[in-house]
Amino acid sequence: MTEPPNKEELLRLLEMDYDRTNKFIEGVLSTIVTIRGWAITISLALLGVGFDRDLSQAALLAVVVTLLFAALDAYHSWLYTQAIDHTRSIEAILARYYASLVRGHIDADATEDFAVKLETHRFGLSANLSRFGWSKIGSLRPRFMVFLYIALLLVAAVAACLIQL
Amino acid sequence: MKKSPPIAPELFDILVEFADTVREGEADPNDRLTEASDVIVFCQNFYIQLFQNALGITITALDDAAKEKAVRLRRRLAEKNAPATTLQLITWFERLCEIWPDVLDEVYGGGVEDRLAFYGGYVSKLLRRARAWAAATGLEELDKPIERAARAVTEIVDALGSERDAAASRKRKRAVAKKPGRQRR
Repeated sequence: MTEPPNKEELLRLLEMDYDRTNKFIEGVLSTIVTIRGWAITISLALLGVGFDRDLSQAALLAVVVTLLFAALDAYHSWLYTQAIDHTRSIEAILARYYASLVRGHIDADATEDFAVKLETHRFGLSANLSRFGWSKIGSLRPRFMVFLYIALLLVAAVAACLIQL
Repeated sequence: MKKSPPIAPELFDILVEFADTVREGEADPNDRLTEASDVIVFCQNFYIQLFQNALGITITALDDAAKEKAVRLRRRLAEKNAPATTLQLITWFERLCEIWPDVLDEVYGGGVEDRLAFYGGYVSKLLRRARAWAAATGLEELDKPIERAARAVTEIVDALGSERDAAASRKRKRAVAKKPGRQRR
């Protein structure tokens, strides 16, 4: 079994793909943190106003605002999920490269596996980003963010009821 | 008894019939492609038959796992000095696995231009490579059906190109109509 042609160049491009994807992840994570921070801050501020001024509308507005931030968070979490999957596939190739270096001289399959994975790789994150759809909510990572927004919605809903009473 | 070819000649009639319906105005090649679209059904069945009947492996999807299977097969065949025409059909299958989400508009960026590129770029080249492979493997009975299919695809591409040009022309006319008239000096 032969090594892929231009192996060194392919590995260089793979490294570039990995670096760019990691930079993308850093950017998306930063945005996600900002979104969640604002969601909590604005939601609680509205609840504070609601209790202070006896305005149930403020609490209802908190529900709406939380839903909007949840939608924004879901989209960015989708981007993050795809980026993580892309880095994992690159790391899988590099792991096979590592294995081929360690035992390729006694196990031809190790070299072949690496070569096949390298040639199968889908280069580039942007070209392979699939469209966001609500049906994909279940595959978003990290999953705990769903509980965050459920908690915020429950708090806002309960607050609206209490203020109304 | 004559052995049937690994790819059924009737398969290529799918494209011919689709071109007929486009010509008669019963189908729009501009429609978003789905798994049920004629050209998609053609591509999928072509490769299923090629891999199963001519190359001895089963391909059931157009995903990374299928691409990996094809890469392994291609590398194995290349070691055994298989004909270039066979290897090029396998690489073209790998290409389809790569662009599949684009073809079905599942990624950001799909649209009319991608459909034009798919018919005019991918499918046309698939037929050229299929014809070269059939000639190299002595499958003369496939030559005429592939030729007819290639002409049909050219017709579809022309129809798509005309639609795109007409849409661009309408857009230009609307832009000119909206501009305020220039004052004569």
